[in-house]
Amino acid sequence: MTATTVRFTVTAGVCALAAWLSLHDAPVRAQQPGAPQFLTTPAEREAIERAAVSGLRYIPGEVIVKFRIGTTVNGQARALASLRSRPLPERLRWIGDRTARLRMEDDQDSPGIAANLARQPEVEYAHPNWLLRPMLVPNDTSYASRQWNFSMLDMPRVWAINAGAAGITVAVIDTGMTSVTATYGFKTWNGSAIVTHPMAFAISPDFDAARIAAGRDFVFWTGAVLDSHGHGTHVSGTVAQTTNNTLGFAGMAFNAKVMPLKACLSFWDVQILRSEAGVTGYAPLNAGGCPTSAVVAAIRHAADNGAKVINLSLGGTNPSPAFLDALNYAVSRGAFVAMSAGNEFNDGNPTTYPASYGPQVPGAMAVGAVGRSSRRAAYSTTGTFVEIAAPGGDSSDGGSAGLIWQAGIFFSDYNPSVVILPRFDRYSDTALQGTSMASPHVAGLAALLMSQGVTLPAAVEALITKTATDLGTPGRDNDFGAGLIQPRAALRGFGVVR
Amino acid sequence: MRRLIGVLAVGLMVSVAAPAFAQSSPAPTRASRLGARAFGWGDWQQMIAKDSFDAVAGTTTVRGPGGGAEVQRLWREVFVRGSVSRLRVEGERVFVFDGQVFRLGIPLEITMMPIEVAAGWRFTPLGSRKIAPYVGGGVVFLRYREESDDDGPSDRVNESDRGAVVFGGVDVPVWRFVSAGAEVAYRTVNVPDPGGTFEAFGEKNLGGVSMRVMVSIRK
Repeated sequence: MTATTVRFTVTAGVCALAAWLSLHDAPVRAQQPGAPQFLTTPAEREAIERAAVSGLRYIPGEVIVKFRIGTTVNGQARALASLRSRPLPERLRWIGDRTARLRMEDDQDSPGIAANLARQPEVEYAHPNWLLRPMLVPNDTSYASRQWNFSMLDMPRVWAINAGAAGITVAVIDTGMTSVTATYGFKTWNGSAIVTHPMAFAISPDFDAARIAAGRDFVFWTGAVLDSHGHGTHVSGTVAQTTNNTLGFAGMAFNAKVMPLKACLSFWDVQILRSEAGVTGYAPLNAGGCPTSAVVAAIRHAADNGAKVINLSLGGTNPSPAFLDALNYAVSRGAFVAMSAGNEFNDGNPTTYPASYGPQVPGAMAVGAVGRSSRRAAYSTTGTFVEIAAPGGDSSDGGSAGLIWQAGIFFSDYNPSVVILPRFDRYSDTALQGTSMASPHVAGLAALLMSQGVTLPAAVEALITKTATDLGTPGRDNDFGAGLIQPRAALRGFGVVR
Repeated sequence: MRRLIGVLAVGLMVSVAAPAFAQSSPAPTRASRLGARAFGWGDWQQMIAKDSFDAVAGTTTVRGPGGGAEVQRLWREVFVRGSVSRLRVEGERVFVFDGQVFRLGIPLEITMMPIEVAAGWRFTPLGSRKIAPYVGGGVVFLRYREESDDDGPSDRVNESDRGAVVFGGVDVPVWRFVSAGAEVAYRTVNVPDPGGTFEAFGEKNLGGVSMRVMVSIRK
C-alpha cells in the first residue's frame, strides 16, 4: 500500500466519519485520491485574512515587480538587496515576462517594499499585490427565470445566425466553475473544533460537462477547479449556459467551451486554508479576493492555452502595469478580453482596474451595465475608460425581475453568514447584478464573432463598437461608452453601402 | 421631371456629340424620317468601387441582362433612348478592419437596376458593312438592393440614387431590320453618406465602366 493510498484511505475514513457525525444531508458521491495540495500557503492565507480584517486592498508582504529588459540574475539580486531582509532572486515567483511576485515574510509593508524596489535602476515598476474583487452586487435568490437580457439583445435571431460559437474557448477568470462532481474532505471550523467535512461539489446540471475545457486553479489548490463562491458559475452561465435543453437558462455562446481559471479565493477557500493550517475559528466574512499575481498569471495561461476570449468580471481601484502587460500579451496571442467596468458609482465612482486599461488595448474592452430599461445601472461605474454597455441587471429597474438570472450554486447551502458546514453541489435559479454580469455578455458576443470569422481581437472590438446602439449623450459618453451591444448587427456585419 | 430629363438629355447629347457633328454631316434625306429601335443587351460592369465589391463579392464585375428602346432622327441624327439593366452579384457579408476583410459567411445578393434616359448622335455608317458609330449621354437612376437570407424588414437595403452616364458604340446591320452592336458606357452614381465597405474603403460610387453586347431591331 503506497503512502498516497494510505493518505487517501485515512482521508476518506475521516470524511465518512465526519459526515456521519455531523451531517446527514451531504451525500458523499466520490472521493478524490491524494491529499489536497493547497496553492496558498498558511502565511499567504493569513495575509489575505489580515487584509480582510484591516480593509487593505493588497496582500500584506507581497509585491509585483517587473525588471527592466536585460536585467541579469545578479541585477535582480542587486535590486532585491535594497530591501531590509535582502531576499535572494530565488524568492521571486515569476508570473509573466520579467514580472514576478515577491513575498516577504518579515515585512508586511507592501507599499513600502514596492516603493523601495521601484527606486532601483533594474526595476521597471513595482507595486503591492493588489487584491481585486468579483464585481457583483449580490441579491436574493427568489425564483424567476426571465432572461430579459437575452430578449433585449434579440438573441434568438442571433442564434439563428450563429448557433452558440462552436469551436471557441472562453476563459473565465473568476472564482472558478466546478469542473468535477466529487466530494472532498476539507478541514473547516464547526464552531468548536476543526473537523474534516465532506464538501460536495457538482458540475451544474445546466452546463454540459463536455464543454468545460481544462481549467486551472491559481490560488486554492492543485486539484480540480471548484467554485465555492458562485460568482464564477453565474458568469460562466451567462457566457455559455447549455441552451435548448429544456432546463434552466440560456447562455450567449452556448456551444463554446468554458475554460474555468480560478484566480479568486472565496470565504470558504480562506476558511479551508485556515483550518487546514490548524488555525481555529472562523475567517473574516469578507475574506477572499483575487490577487493581482493570480489574475495576471491566469490571463497569460488563457492566452497560451487556446482561449480566444477572456472574461474578467473582477476589478479593483489600484493600477498595475502588470495588467496592461498581460492584456497586451493576451491580445497579441489572439484573445479578446472583456472586463467589468466596476460597481462603485455610488461609492465615489473610482477608476477601476484592469478595466481602465481597455482603451489602451484594442481588443480589450471595459464593460458598463444597463438595466432592463436600457438605463445605466445605478451602480455602474462611469468614466472615460467605459467602452461599451451590456445588460448587468439593476434591482432599481424592475426589482428582482430586473436582475440577471442564471443557474447558480444554491446560496442557502453555503451562505457564510449562516452555514457552518457548506456544500456546493446543488444549483438553483440565481439572480445577480453588476458589471460582472454585463462583461460576460460581451465575452459571449466576442465568442460568437470569433466563431463567425472575425478572428482579430481588435477587429472584434471595432465591430462591437461600430454596431452598438448609442445611448445617453449622442456619441461616445462616460456612462455607456459606444452604447449597448447589438449582437445581431455585429454578427451580420456589413454589405457594400450599409 | 420628364421635361427636365429631356432637356438634360439633349444638352448632354449636344455637348458630347458636337465635335463629331462637325466632322461628319449626315445626309439631309435621312434626317427627315423618324425611326425606332428596340434592343436587348448583356451588360458587364467593372465597378469603380473595386475594393468594396472585391471584399463582398470576390469580384469587381457585376453583370446581367438589359434592354431598351430608342427613337431615332428626332432632329437630323439625334436619338433619345431609355434603357434598363438588371445587374446582379452574389457575395457574403463582411467586416473590414484596417483594410483586412473578415468574411462572415452570411450570403448577400446585390442587385442593381440602372435606368438610363439618354440622348445621342448617330454618325454616318462607315464602310461596306455600314458600321454605324454613335455616342451619347444622359442621366441614370439607380435602384440598389442588398439582401441576405435572414433579413428582417428593417435590414434590407433598398435605395435609389441618381447619376450620369456617357456611352459610345457601333451598330452593324446583320439581317434586314436586325443589327448587332457593342457599346462602352461609363456610369457614375454617388451614394450619399454610405456605410458598409464603402465607408471602410472610402468609396462611394456605384458606377463603373460597362461593356454591352447588344442585338437590336429597328423600324
